[in-house]
Amino acid sequence: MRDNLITDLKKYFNKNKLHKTLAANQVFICRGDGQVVYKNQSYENELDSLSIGALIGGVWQASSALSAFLPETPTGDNFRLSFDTSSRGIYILSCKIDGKEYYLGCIFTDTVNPGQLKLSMRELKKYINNEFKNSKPKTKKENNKKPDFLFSNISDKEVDDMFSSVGV
Amino acid sequence: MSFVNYHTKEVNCKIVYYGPGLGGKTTNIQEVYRRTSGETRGKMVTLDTENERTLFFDFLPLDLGEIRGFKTRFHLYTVPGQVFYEASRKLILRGVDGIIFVADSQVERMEGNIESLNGMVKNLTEQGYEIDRVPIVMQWNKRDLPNVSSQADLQRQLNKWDVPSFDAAAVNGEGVFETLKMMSKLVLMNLKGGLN
Repeated sequence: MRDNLITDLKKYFNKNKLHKTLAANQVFICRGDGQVVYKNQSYENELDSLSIGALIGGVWQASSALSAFLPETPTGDNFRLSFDTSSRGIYILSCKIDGKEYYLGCIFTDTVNPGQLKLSMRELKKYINNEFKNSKPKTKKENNKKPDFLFSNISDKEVDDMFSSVGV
Repeated sequence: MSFVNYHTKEVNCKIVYYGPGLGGKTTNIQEVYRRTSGETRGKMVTLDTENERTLFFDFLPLDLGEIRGFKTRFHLYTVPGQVFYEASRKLILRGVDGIIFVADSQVERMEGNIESLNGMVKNLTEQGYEIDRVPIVMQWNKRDLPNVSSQADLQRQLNKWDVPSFDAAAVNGEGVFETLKMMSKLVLMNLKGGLN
């Protein structure tokens, strides 16, 4: 288990800059449950990126479920998901991080050559698959660092206080 | 599956509203959206049909306050309730941290509630969840309508695990936050200490 994937991805992308066609657009990596673990741009409302993550996860998984109706082929296919015009759209690939499936998505606009962008995405997928193939297993000492449960005995007052910050 | 980031002191949790069609799942999160302030929640994503029946899911990201120094962020999802959307419900349950089962209290909807609950248990089991380890809260919705089942009857037929339950009339906002608060508490207390 990796200690902090978000930090590791951030470090990786600080060192290995995105191809310029990707950097000019919105690139995401998210987990199957839609949790965003990397994004290359910030948003006025950071919660918007969560909606994008939820939709990328949802659309990939729905498509993947649909693909079960395709006749099986002897070679393992690598699916790609495209929803685009000749200059803007969405492109999603799956990638593997620590052996688990993640989704690598790009939302692009005003792109002269979407084909090149998609190629850059497929190359990025290869780099990610290779770089994050697996992390070092945690030592016993590291595993013992944290308690079994993050919180225990949360009081009703603590919950009320938490919700009061959203105006409830 | 929740996401705990010790570096940024942030926890992310996925809560799913499950239940029979027209039971009030979407109404619950619409009410959460309506009553929370703009900066603490994102856009509500709704993938529905022309007649406003949920087609795939509704999604609402919500930033709650801090608890013991950790910023909390909840991802609220609803499943489509109609029987033929079973495949979508399975997908949406992936990685769930807690479930609010929204039951329709009307007497004639009991069978639909039971069918939906059985489907939920089946889907969770298929995905490797142990049902008694998943935080679940029951919501008896539509208590404002005539001809509703008694609480005792709902408890007996739907709440065999004896999990917390709340009366609600989501359309008027009643019981919506009581249910969500309990769910949040259970989910947070169920978070493992290890990092993801």
